[in-house]
Amino acid sequence: MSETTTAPERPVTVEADETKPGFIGVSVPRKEDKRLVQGEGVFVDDVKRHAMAYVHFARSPYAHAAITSIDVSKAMELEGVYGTLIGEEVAAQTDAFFQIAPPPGGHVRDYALAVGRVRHVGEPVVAVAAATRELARDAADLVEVEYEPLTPVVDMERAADPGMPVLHDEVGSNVIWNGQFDYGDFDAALAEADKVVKIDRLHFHRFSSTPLETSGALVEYNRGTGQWTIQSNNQFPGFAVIMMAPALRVGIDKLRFVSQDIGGGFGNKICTHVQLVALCLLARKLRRPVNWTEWRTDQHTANSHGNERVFLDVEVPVKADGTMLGFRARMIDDCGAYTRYEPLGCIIWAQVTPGAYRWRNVRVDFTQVCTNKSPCGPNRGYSRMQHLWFTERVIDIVAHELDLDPVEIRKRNYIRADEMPYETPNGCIYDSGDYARCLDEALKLVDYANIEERRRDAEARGKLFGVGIGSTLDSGTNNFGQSTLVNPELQFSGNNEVATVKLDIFGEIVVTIGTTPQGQGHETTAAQVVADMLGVTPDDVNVRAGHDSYWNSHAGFSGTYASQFAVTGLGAVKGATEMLVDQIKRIGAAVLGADSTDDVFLEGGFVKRKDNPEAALPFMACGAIVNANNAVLPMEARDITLNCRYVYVPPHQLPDKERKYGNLTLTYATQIHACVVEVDPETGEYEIIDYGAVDDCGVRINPQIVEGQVHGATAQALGAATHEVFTYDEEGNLLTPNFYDYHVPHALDMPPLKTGYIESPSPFTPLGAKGMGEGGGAGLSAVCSALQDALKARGGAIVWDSCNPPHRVWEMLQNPEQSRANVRVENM
Amino acid sequence: MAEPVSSATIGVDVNGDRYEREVAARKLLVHFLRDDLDLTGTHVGCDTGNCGACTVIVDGVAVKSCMILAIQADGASIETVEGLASDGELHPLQQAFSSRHALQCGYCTPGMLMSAKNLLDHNPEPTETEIRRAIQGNICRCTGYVNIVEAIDAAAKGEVSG
Amino acid sequence: MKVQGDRSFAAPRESVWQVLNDPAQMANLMPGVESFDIHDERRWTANVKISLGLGSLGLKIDFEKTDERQPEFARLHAKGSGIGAILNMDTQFALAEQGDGTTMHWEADVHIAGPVGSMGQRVLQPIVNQQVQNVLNALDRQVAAAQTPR
Repeated sequence: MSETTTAPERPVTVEADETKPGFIGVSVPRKEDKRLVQGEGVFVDDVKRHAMAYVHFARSPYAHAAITSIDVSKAMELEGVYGTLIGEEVAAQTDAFFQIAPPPGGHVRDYALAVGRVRHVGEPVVAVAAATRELARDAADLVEVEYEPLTPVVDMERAADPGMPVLHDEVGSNVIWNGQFDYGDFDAALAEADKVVKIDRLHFHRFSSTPLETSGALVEYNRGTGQWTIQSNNQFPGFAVIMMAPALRVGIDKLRFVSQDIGGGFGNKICTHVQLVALCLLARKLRRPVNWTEWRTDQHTANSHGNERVFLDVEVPVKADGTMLGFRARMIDDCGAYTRYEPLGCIIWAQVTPGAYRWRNVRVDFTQVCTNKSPCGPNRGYSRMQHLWFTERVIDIVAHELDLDPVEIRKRNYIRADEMPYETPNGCIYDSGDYARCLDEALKLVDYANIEERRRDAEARGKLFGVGIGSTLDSGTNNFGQSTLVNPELQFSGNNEVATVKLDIFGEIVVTIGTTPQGQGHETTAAQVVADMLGVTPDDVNVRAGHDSYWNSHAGFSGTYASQFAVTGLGAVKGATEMLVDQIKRIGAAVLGADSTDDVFLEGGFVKRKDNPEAALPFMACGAIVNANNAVLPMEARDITLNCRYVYVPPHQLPDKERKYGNLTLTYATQIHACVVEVDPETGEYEIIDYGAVDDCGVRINPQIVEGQVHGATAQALGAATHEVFTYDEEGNLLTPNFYDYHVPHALDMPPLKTGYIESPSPFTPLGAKGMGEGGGAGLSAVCSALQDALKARGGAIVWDSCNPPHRVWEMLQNPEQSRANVRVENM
Repeated sequence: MAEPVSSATIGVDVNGDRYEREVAARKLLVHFLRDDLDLTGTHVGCDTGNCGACTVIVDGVAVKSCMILAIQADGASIETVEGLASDGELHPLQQAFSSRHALQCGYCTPGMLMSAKNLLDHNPEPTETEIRRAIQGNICRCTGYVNIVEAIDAAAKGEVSG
Repeated sequence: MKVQGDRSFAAPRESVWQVLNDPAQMANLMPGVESFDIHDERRWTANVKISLGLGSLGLKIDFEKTDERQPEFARLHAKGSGIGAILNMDTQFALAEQGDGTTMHWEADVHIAGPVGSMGQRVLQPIVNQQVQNVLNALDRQVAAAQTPR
């Protein structure tokens, strides 16, 4: 249970900033906790409305089928059933969802319910609304849908082959997007190389973070104003309304999103706008609020998987000393049956094109295909995790094949701290970081210096012993301009987040933010920042819980996703508070008779004169004057509102569409993990006996919260690395559709987990902090690397898949030649 | 053969309060608590009885309330998360969970607290393995269990503040 | 999933063919048949309960004989549905004389969709195999009974 944390060295440079080192960097207890530990949080299913209907979806049992008829009459006969909604109605009342892809991929027609055809098991076909949960379920069973089964496409590597069934006729094939990426000079790299390491195939599997709270919503329709109020746990309302408003043929302000507490999101609650449109139509049709709570099986089957990806024909020119010069690969990504956030994944990986390494010559052929599987969503680590796993497998395999020390080869190839900020081959700027130092810290956590002693001990007990390393970068604060590199016609770029900070009539400080937290502690970290700037304590700062469009504290990209709150959310909070500080000082100066705002300061909830701190005005007086007594103010001070709204906009530029070049994200946090395994050579069972995770997210606003994110992301990565996988049979049935079969880590599954940190502040952000939270993907690489090391003694199998349950390890033990046939080293 | 019962009146004691309600025979205890009694602290996280978010204590035994019908709880004494604090004072487990950052999104927390309380009611000095086994039926996706185990250990030892 | 097999009967081919092609006798062959309706020579519907180990699965199955070469070959298509399961099955059998008796070669292509289908082949294969065994055993009995002089 013990953990060690490494004290940071003083950072090299910190931009002079207004925040006193008061609460920044302190593990202030969370404001959210008091209500959550008492079960007094408000999650979407906790909200009730009089006369609300419960909704259950009748879903497709087929992976691919034509719908020949739908008969809801038996369902409607059941007493207590209020009504139904079918695809025909949806197609008549809404427009198909906006598509991100250029033609022909952009011709996918996606509606809130299946229209004419189903394309994955679990796809909602009919929505049934009834007086109770149980009745809705009964009624959904009585809905009669006739299907004509079609051959499903379940092998992503065959999806684009001629003759394969096509999911979307208007697209013409199953290829959603294809693009070429060519940076540096790969041919020159080949010429310069001493050897080329060739890897035929690496496979990243399909899994997801499966938040414990499923998706859900309570939707009400105001007939008089045409306004929908959507109480839901959608985690990216900015994206949701951009998708929903055109579909529903209404203005964006007609969609009010409200949420308070959300039980985990991890990117899996971004694409629920699809179901929400069905609920909006039902609420309007039935003239009553409608409540939908997703079943676990439905979440696993039909709502948001992480992308499966294969890397083919990989070529890595290297020097004899292990310096990697570049890579060429063909990549195929599977987005499932519908493109909802996709094909953004086709460019988002390019935020980390070289991973953590200095190679400059990259050539990638990237294709995204659709299959008759659950649609994919931006699962934690979205698209970068797959690519970073690839770069880690490459360096691990290169070290293995060239018989080079895995630590030395990484240090030789890592981008160096003194090269930061570092421009990658495709123009992204890594803001700061010290990968070699993080690696050293991670190795210390697993006592790497004495590892040989543990190896001998394990071998004496008949076990195979392995140590592995996984490096990852957590890129945060997207530049949505990257979407134009996938579709040049799109009009998206930059990013934003909004905060409003006000001083109320009784001196209360109230903060509202446009984000939708799912456990990241936004209320707390925001209060820390505000407290420091106003000279009060976090307890004095009230941060409204959750999200509500009516607060008008949101903008186009508002939400909680993509590792950006510490930059965008807190950037907005800082900006709004700066405005408030200035306004408070102006009132103070005016009332206290000082010449300018430079003559006053804030302390302990007062604005005081510098030359006479006894002359002090409490915040309460400032609030009272502005709100209820403003005739006492001189005319030039009457524009003061003490209600300051600030939009944080990161310094993004439009990328170069021709070259697919530009800075696609603002910050890069680092996580480097070290993993020690013991493998039973008889069974392939293995145990992680030691594990260290080192994080560098720049300035840590609340260290305990950061560490919690590292724990959680690592646990998810270890689950995925060892046994979490969405497996399909050849008919397209999902064989792991709920927690009964999809085994996530439980308390006894966790290895001893130690964490460390360093802080390399970002030169680009308001607080020097970076977004973090998606970096746990390092665990996938660390486990693969450790297993490959352990198997060296028994035939040297190459680990080629991101998921390695015991039966796969056993296969590699029994037949190492099969995986070794995947890899060749050619001398140049 | 007797006619199957489709509804019944049940009496339960929840956190010291007595309730008498008519319930559909098929209604799960977790839905009775959440929908009928408005005790929404207990959560539903799955549909196969695997996740433990719905854990409550029934007659001194930790149970998954989604795996019990409300009518099976007739006459029982039930403890839910809403009953942990008393007179505005948080229970030592609740305090320890907060000070050790043993919760992030808070969705698994009520079930986790009830499993932990049940453990400490029966075993006031658990080892780390005993703690992990006690919460083995409670899934958490946010924390990796690291701080949860620490918090339960701290509460057992009476070291609840940070 | 595909299943197939061979079976021998100590009865002339016409007898076996007779049993296999009489809808009423066919319905009797099916294990767990609770009731059946014969629509015509080629079509009938059976209400069936199949034991799944943990509970049972009720299915309403429509059969149609799609191809026939008397007395040596027939192909049937079955489409069934119940709660949580949709069944699509193509089955065929070929009869050949062997001395005084008959050998039958049969094949079936079974598809199960819906939540039951997600249990996967490793769980469903044994169930399908058991149903097949039941059918073949019942076929044995029917053929033998048909041989008994009345």
